[in-house]
Amino acid sequence: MPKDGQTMLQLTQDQDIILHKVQPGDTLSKILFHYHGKQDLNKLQGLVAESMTANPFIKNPDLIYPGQLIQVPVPATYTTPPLVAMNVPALKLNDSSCLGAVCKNWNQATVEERTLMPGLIELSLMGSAAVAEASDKWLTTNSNLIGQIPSEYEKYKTGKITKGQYDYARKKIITQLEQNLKSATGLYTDGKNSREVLRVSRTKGRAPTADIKAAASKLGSYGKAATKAGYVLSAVSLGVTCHDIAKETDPKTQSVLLVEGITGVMSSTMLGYGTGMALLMLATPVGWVAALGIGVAIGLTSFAASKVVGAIYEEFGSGNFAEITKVSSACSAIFSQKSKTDINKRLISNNLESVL
Amino acid sequence: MITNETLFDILMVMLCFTAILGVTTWLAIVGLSLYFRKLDATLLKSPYFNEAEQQNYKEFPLSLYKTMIYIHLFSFRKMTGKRFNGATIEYPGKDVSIASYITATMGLLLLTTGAITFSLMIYLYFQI
Repeated sequence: MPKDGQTMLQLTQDQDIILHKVQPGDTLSKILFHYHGKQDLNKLQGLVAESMTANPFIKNPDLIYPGQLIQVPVPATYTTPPLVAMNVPALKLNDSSCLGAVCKNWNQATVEERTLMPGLIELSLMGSAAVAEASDKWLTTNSNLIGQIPSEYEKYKTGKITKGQYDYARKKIITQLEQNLKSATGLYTDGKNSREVLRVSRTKGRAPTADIKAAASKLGSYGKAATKAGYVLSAVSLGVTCHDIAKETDPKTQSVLLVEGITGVMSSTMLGYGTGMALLMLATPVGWVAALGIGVAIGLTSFAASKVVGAIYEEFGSGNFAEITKVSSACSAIFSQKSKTDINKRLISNNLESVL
Repeated sequence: MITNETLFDILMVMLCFTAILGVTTWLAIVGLSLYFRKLDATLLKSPYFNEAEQQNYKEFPLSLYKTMIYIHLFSFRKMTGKRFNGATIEYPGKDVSIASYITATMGLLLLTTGAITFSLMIYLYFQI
């Protein structure tokens, strides 16, 4: 339940709400234009008021800060771009800034789960405090050992022990301290030494380079798979274009992407056939190196051609080519996924109590 | 007088047509390459192909180049140059011959429309 004096946005059936991360230069009006397109002044003012109700921390619609997560009311028909389009950082498990189980699930988390993240900042601070406390504990438990170094030095200076005895004692203390510290490094390296990843095997009856060979063999199989993937390269490139179109909201950019994709297909098929014909008429034998060179040249030329046609479309193109050909809606249908969660559960203000 | 806007419209039509034709042509070549594998025993050998070619042309993507050679052998034979000069080749059948003619014609059409599209592309680019 909202606290006293706090209003809550009531969504109608034809409304939905999405989370938007504020980018540098954003204003509330600019963000609303992005999702709603051009609106008359009254409608825009209504949308601004709704947005400010959904985000009570916004006092001035022109004063929002990069990195802020705000809730934006959108038409129910608005299709959310796929999660990858939200520029969510992919966190690595061994990243020192990672929070263990949280990071493990971060990339699979739903938008709602990610909104809980601000509440976990305190936990992260507590985690840092725990690390500091662990360091302090380490210093405390090893203080006697650390104190032995100046003590041994004093003995040497006063002539109670020789230089050799002092060096031996010092080396022994440092080795012991290193041993004690190693148990703490497990906190940062997930219990593994980085050298373990590509180490020389010392196991009896096993070739010293066996592990490295296994890794190389794995790479080789990936290479073979990549060669076979040549059959579907065109389909993949079309898929990538379709994905980019689905992710893009500006109709003009969608059309440019589509035109570039079509040009890429046209150029590569035509140049590939043309090269084949030229070689055929010359009856020239073709080896793998030549084939690779030709492939790279065709790829680069196709890329250049697609950029040229993209520039031509931006200059002369009018109308929404991606929409006329129904490609943008088809790609959106393929790549977009809408959350099935009840819209009212997606409001942070409705979930505050469970977070705090 | 043809305006740049008209040329742009022509370019878009040519672009789409050539892209569709290109994909269709290559699909036909891939389809025929599956059938032509059984002809390797009689055609992919000396003196038509040297030893390196006999090895290389069995694998993708050079197998597609070999398919192009066979297609032209069964349709516009003169285009294969001196590779099969004076050779007596047993033709696999009327269906294969028709498929080869259609594919080779689509290929030639692809080259023609592709050349026109590229010319239009370059002309309009320099008008920007």
